[in-house]
Amino acid sequence: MTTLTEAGTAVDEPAGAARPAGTTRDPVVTAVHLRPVRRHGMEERFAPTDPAPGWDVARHPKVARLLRNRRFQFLLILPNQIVFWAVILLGLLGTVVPGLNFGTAITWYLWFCLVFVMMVVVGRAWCAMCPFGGFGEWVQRRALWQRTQKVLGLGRKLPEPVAQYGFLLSVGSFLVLTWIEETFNIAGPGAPHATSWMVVGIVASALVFFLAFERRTFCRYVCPLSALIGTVGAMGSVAGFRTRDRDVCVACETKECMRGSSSGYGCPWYTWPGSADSNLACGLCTECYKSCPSDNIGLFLQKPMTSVVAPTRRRFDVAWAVAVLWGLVIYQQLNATSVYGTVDNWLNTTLHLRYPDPVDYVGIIGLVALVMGGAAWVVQHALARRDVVIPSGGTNYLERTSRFRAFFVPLMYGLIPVVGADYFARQLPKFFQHVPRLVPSVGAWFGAGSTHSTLYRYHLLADPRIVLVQVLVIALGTLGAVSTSWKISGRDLAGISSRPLAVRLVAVGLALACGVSAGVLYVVMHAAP
Amino acid sequence: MTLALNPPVADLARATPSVTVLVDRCAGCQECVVRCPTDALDLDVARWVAVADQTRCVGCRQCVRTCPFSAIVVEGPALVSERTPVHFAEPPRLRGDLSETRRGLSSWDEALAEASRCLECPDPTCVRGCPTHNDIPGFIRAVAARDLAEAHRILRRTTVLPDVCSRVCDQAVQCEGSCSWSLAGGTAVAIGALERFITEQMPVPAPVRAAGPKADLDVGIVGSGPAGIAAAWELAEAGARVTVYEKASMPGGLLGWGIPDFTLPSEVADRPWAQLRDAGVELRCDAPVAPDDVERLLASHDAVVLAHGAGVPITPPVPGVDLEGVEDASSFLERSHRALLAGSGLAELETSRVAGAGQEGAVVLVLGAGNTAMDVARSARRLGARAVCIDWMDPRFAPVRPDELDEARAEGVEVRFNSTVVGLEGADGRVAVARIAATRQERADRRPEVLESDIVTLAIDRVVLAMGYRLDRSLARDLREVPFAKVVDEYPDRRWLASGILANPAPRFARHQPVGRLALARESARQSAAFPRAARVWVAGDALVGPSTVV
Ligand code: SF4
Ligand code: SF4
Ligand code: SF4
Ligand code: SF4
Ligand code: SF4
Repeated sequence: MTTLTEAGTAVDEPAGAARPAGTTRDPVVTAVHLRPVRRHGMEERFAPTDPAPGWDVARHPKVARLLRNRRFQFLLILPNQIVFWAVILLGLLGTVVPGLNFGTAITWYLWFCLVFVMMVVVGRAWCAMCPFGGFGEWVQRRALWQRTQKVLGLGRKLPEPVAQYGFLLSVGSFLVLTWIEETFNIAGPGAPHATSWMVVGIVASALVFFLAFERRTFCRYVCPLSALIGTVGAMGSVAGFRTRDRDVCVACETKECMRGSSSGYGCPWYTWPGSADSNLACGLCTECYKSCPSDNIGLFLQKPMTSVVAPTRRRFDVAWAVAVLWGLVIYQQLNATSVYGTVDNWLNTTLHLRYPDPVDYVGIIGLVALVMGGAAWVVQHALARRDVVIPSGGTNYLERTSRFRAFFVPLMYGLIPVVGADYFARQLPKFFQHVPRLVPSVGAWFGAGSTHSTLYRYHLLADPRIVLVQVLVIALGTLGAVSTSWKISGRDLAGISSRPLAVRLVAVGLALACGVSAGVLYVVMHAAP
Repeated sequence: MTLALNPPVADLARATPSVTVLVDRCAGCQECVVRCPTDALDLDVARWVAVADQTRCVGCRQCVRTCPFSAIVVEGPALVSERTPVHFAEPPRLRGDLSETRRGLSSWDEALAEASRCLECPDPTCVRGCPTHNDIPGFIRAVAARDLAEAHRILRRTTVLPDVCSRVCDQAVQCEGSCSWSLAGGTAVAIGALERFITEQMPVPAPVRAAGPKADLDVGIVGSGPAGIAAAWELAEAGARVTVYEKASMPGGLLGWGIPDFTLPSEVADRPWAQLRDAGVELRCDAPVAPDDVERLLASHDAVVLAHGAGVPITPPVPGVDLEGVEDASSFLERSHRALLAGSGLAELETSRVAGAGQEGAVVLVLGAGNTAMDVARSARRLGARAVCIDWMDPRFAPVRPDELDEARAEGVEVRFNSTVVGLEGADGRVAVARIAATRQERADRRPEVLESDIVTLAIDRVVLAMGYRLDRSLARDLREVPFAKVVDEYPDRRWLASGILANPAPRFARHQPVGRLALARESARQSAAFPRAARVWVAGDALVGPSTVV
């Protein structure tokens, strides 16, 4: 069609030219001469991590329709939003018996356990429905599901000196939250109002960050659960939203998936589907899927452990996150043993501290993390090939390179399955012993539930069996870690080690050692929650 | 490209720009890489992040504006030489003086120096800022190569009035306001002056009639202003037989009488029609077309183009506008144009016989301070009157060209912002006194607020309404209206967004006007304009989208 424009100039438009609805035709294409994009090496860079085209569930028209619907994520968040406001209200106003209060019961007997299941099976499934981030986002966007243009808040960027530590900020806030939780015995569960205040605290800090910073800065850097979900979620079988054809993405001159379009926001997590190589930072929010004008994004599944094993670029922050999170869960396990009780009491009386004394807390976590780091250092010292030059990286914390990093990072990635299994196993006693209490706790709204009811006292499983399940879970996790450590060390460490087989056996040994320690501790704990 | 420090910095350590790509934020999308004018950015494929070569960076901040994740930071000065100053004529003799006040670039040396400041941006924002989307880096490159024919060829792709536009465009909020340098806080390339330089060195080539299959097409065009000229030009070149109907006695519309000679000399204003007539376009002046005549035109032509512009003056709802001595800008400009050519004064314009109204030093009050108002006031000065412009907007936000304002003030025009007329009072049926209230405007997107308590009076002899025009839709009234393209309000076009033109706060140079938004709004208005379409009838120019600029 030829049309007359304002100046009367004829403009030729190819008949039926594909143009996304709601955009103006670009009048200046003749004056635009973009430089060529660099593609060389792209295939090799992403081949190991690209999911198979057949695993794209968004190819299914019904799934595609669902994902395109702007209300979809809202409807995922809404039930959780309702539950958590109920948790807050009931925690403050409901019964003070923790096991009978719906707020505490659902949070600690069911929710925490489910979050771990989702992490291990899916990845960031929780993030897709999270009411904390969800609420902040609603406020920031001034909308529940609509695509709006004006955001509320300052829209700052997280300053680079902080942002360069990646997920370590989130690890830190998880440590702080856990310490608070231990102090007030919130998850015990303790007094229901403590759980309320904790949730209020998370919602409020999320809101503050959503109003001060751009997009989901809170989720990406600050949220206490983010690093845990990110690392453990690497075991998950959902690869996240990824490009279908990278050539199309690289040639794409507008990058709506990053900037946003009239139908979707730009990625709130700072992830580009065109270069994502794990499910680490995809919050499964569907925005890029909605924005892409070329329908070039799929929602991909992957084999379990793919995001642990496959990435060719591993992250130093994630490695430390694994080490520290491992330290934390070991601390919690030790904490539940009787030996620890004795030592702790002695310490507290001598040092005039109260539980959980920070010396133990920081000390044990730090010690475990350092042992992990130390192990890697010893391995690299003993087995590194001196003639291999480690290519230099960037100048910031995340991207610097060193021989230590070259060994530490793959070794820690290999442990992800056992760390994940351990966190999961730790939730099991509460679940098996107390999840039936949810029924009387609902009854308690109507004055019907009571601590004398059968369900209140009913356990799905009791002590020796729970320990059995826990040990089984750890065994599975250890098996997973043995396999991932074997594969990762074969790919990442063998080439830079003087004795390739030895380094692989050491990696496997480290995984086994971790698994055995956790398993032994569970036996000693006697299913203590 | 010549590199120099702007502004000049004494401290050499801080004298070069530095680029930092933020870790864990850069996703390696290459948006910055493909748009960096100096090739200072590349992709590190192994890490899949952008990397910068500091030595090549000139600090234009295109990368900052185009990165979708705001993952790149540029610090330090912009490395660009000083803009070549374009001189204005010293305050002219004024009384009866018609010589052009603005001068262009005076030599090839100046032009080459200015052309060398252009970065040839891969995704040039200046082109989006120009309403007709001239390929600016293209014609500047041609100037740098001293190839004027090529420069004209490039200009011709998008315009037939480069000599006119380069004189009358408000570059500060169009091309130059959206030049990369200006968006980066520096001084823009003198795009308007370069475009003018091309047309001064080599006249705009006349239309070339292509003999071809379309030769038997016969088209009637209503209106001979800029839109009519462009339509006639295109059609003539395509080989059609073209007849243009103009209601006035001379062709050119706005160009003929609307823009005074001291801004647009008559040689320039008359050039398009001289060339069109030579090319065989038939012009019928004094031939108004009434709504009912469209049918008749369709009977004698294969197609009709309505390019009658938007010529209905906006009248303020103020008591006293119907008094004698109050008129609209177009009638004033048309008559003052004739009076000035005839070498006479304000008295020539006088129809009333009231004593003193047309005498030397009479006060002409101009409502408005935009392009047209300035033209009116400066014409009045040349007719020997005093001129006062009042505009209710704040000077920071008013859509007035800064150079034009300076010139007008230098010529003795009094321009008052933040004030508005709330009433006109007459004596003997003729306007004599204006009551003027102060206004306050805090933000560009807010309507000024009238402070009724703060009123002054001014004795005046004549009032000219120069607040703008609106479109008379009667000609196109019966046509079915369909939008040209579907435009979603609020949401900017993807390529505009990607080019980075919308990313920055308004450059100071552009008077705090968000140039990108302005340009995009123009673009969307054009594309979403209800496009009246009937068989064989087309609408073009302001007649389509409502009043705007010449291009
Ligand atoms: S996912 Fe779509 S919008 Fe994003 S880069 Fe690829 S093609 Fe462009
Ligand atoms: S500031 Fe300009 S020259 Fe420097 S890297 Fe960015 S785009 Fe390139
Ligand atoms: S535009 Fe931004 S995200 Fe894309 S490569 Fe450049 S710095 Fe990285
Ligand atoms: S002077 Fe006018 S026509 Fe010329 S480039 Fe600038 S805006 Fe476009
Ligand atoms: S934006 Fe400025 S520097 Fe870039 S091409 Fe246009 S005139 Fe040249």
